[in-house]
Amino acid sequence: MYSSYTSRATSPSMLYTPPLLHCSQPLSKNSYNILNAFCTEENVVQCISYINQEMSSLGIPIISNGSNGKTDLNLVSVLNTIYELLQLWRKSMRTMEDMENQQLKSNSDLDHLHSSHSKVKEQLELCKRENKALQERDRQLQLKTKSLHNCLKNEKEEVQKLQNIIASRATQYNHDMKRKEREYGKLKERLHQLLMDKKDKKLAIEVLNYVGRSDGKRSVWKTEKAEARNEGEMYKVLLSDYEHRQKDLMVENAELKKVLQQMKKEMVSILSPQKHGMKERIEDSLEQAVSDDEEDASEHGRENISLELSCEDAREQLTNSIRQQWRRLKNHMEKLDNQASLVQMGAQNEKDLISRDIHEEEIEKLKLEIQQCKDLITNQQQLWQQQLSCPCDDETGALLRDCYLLEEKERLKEEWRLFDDQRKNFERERRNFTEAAIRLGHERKEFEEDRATWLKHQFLNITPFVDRKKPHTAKSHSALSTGLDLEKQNLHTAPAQQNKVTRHTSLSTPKSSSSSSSLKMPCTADLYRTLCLIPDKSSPSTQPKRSSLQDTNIKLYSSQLSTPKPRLSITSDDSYICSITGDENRL
Amino acid sequence: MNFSEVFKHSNQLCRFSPDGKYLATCVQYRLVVRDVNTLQILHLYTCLDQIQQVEWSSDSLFILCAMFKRGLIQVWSLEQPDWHCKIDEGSAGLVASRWSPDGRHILNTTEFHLRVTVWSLCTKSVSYIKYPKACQQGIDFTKDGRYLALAERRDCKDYISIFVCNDWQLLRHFESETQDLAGIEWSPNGCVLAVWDTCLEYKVLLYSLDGRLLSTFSAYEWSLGVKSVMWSPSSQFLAIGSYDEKVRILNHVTWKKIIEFEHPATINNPKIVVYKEVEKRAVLGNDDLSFHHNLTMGSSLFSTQSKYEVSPAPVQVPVIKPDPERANPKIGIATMAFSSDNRYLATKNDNMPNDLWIWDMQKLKLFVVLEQAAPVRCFQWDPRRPRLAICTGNSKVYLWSPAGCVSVQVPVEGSFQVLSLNWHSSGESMVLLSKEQLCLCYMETPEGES
Repeated sequence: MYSSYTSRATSPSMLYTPPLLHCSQPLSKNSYNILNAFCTEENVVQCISYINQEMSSLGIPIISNGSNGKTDLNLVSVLNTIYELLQLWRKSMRTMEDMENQQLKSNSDLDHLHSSHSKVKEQLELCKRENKALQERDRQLQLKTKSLHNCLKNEKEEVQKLQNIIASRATQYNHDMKRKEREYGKLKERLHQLLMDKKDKKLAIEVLNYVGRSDGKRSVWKTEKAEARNEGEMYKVLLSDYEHRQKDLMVENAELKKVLQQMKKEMVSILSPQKHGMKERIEDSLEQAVSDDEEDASEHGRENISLELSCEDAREQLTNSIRQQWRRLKNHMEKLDNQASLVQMGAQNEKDLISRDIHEEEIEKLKLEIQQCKDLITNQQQLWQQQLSCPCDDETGALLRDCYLLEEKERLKEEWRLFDDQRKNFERERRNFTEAAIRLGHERKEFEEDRATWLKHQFLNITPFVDRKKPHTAKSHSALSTGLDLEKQNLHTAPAQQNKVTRHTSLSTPKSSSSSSSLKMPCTADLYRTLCLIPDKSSPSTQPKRSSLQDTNIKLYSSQLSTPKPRLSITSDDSYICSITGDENRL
Repeated sequence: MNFSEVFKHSNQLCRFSPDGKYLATCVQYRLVVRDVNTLQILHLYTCLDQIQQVEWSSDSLFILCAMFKRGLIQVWSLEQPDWHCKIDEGSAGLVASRWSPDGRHILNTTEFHLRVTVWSLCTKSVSYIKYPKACQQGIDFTKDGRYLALAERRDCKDYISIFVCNDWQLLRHFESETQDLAGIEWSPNGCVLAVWDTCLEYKVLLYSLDGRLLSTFSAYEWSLGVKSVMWSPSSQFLAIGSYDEKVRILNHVTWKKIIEFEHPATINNPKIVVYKEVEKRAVLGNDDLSFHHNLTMGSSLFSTQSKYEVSPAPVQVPVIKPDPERANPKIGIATMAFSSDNRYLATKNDNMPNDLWIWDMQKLKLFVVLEQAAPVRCFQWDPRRPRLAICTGNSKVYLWSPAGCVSVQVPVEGSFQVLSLNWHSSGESMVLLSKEQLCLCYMETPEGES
């Protein structure tokens, strides 16, 4: 605000504010705002009018309509104006920010452009330099080529000159040579003349006597006739030579013809059987072949003559026939080739492919088999070798194999041991039982004797008083009687139980002989029988408890428990087994 | 193989008579005629000067002895030992002399090739042929002796004259299409004349007897050309040896080239047998001088021994680099020879002087290469069999046949360096010539062959 205020050097507030106030600015800080304030009490009107003016210039509705200088400010309009101004200010601020941003952007763009411009300038410089260099080089090269051209021209000229020189020299030399030779000839001539003219005396032949000609003839005069004869002889010689040559050629020709004929014949003989074969297959060539054969037949006769003829016609015939044959042979060969290729193709396409597949399969199979056989053999070999190298291996193998059995054995042994223990216990118990039974038997005997005596007493002392007392005793007896009944029942069922027991024992302990059990079992039966009797006598206090919990067969238990001296060492396990056995027996 | 005793001779002059009965040798100015079989002196003639050339007449009745220095020729008769004939060329001089094929005329070439003088022994007449050309081989008779071809040079042009030997009549006279004719040679059948140009141009012309040009052959241009030309005995082939170390074979029907025989410095083909002469110092008790044949002969203790060894496939042939500055460079095929049966061609390349190349003319292929320890001096085919005799200027003579090859020491006391050799017409013996001595070498004729 202050800055804006100060920046408005020409603002009317400055005009309206008295200079004194301005001078009193530094007087007090508190009065600073008041003094420097745009609007004071005194200049409200001016302020309003000023603001109004400003507002109207800005196109905002004026604060107050009062033009008479009254300070009746329309609060709403003022607020609106302020709001509008604020809006304006914000807008302008925003635009300023935008502008600033834009300026920044444009600045950076400018920088970038500057830099790129400089770069491009550099490049341009470089290019220019390069261009200059290239131009320079081009110029130099052009100069060089020019100089070389000049050189070449010079050389050419030189060569031309030299050639000219050589040519002129050659002509000169030839001329001189000719001149000299002519001179030489002249000299020779002259010398010859001189020699002839001189009548060289020395030039002579001294012969004792003339010798006859080797052919015995006399020499002849040089006449026209002789000349003609010489000519004739020469031609004779030539003729004979040519004849000789012709004969040679004839012979050669004849031989060649023979060879040709032979070739032809052979060709025909080779071709004809195959032709027959071909006739069957290819019908197109049939007619042609037939006609050819006919021609052949006719030609055979002619060729025999032509062999003798040795003239151009014959040659033509021969060559023609040979050509024909040759063409035919060629065709035939081509056909054969085609057929061969076709057959090959066909075979490949039809048979060969399938058969090949089969073959391949077979081969695969065979290979597999071979592989298997090989494996087998190798395995066998290995085994053999192993056996040979360490014979213990077999045992180890056996051991390995037995490992599982061993485990089982171990288990069985364990079981066996357990079983043995059980048996021992069992036997011990049984011994105890038997002892107990024996004792019981003794006791019973005594008891029986006692009872007998008591019954005797009773029987002897039968009285009504005695009868009243009977139910009581009967009651007490009832308990006994039940026990007795039980005993009796047991005794009656003994054989059945025996069987059962034997069966059970045989199941549970296979080793224990049935005979021993059968031998001992009656003892147990006795034991039970006795046991049933025992509780009544030995421990009546514990009985109710047990009885409340279990039924009669548990009595047996309790009796077992209650069995005094021998029972002390019995472990829970034993009792458990006992209970089992007891159960079984019960069942 | 047997050897005769040694006789003296001079100037390498030693000739078998054409009928094979006599052997004429010259010792200084004496002419000795011996019987070939007995080697006994039959006649002894004394000439006026040192003999420089000796030649038998075709009927073996006369011998001419030429003394070029004196321009003299002396002729001796075997039938009449006291008969004599002397021809003096006088001031014209003498450079070459030969018999005409009839054995009754003598053709003398005077100095400067001024003329050819034809002397007749029958009529004492003399005739001249002017303008003979001074060249490699300017005169050639046909084998049958009927015609003479003579190269002439007049008005700076080459001409060829064909004479009938019978009466020395000019039969044909024609200009040859050569720049500078170098040589002429009749085909053995006497119907075709091969004419070749100077070595500056490769050009071979073939003329018929009646002067028609049959064909022209040129293998290349701008380089040194023909060095030698040789007809095969059957007239079927014309072998042309040239400076490019090749031999070209022309056929007699079309006169076109059949094949080119190169002489490469390395022989790679393992099918080609390369016989290499290996020299070693003599060892006492040596008896294996022969390689393939079991030949009995005395051995001299102090000479080097040599034998042939077959070299394995890649063979490097020793090559001499010719001096390009000098004229007539030692390069190319200068000597060729067909065997009498046309079967083989032996060639020698001048820049491979130790090697002799033998070509099979049926297969038209290289057949055998003989590599000698020393440069080959002379080689000649047996006139009857395919057998080649070679000498290299040492004391050995080498023989090649399709069966193999053998080196034979010449069993002569002292040094006997074989410089040249000559087969007897029967092919059963040959004469070996050293500088001053000669000896005859007799072949052992295999049974059934003679």
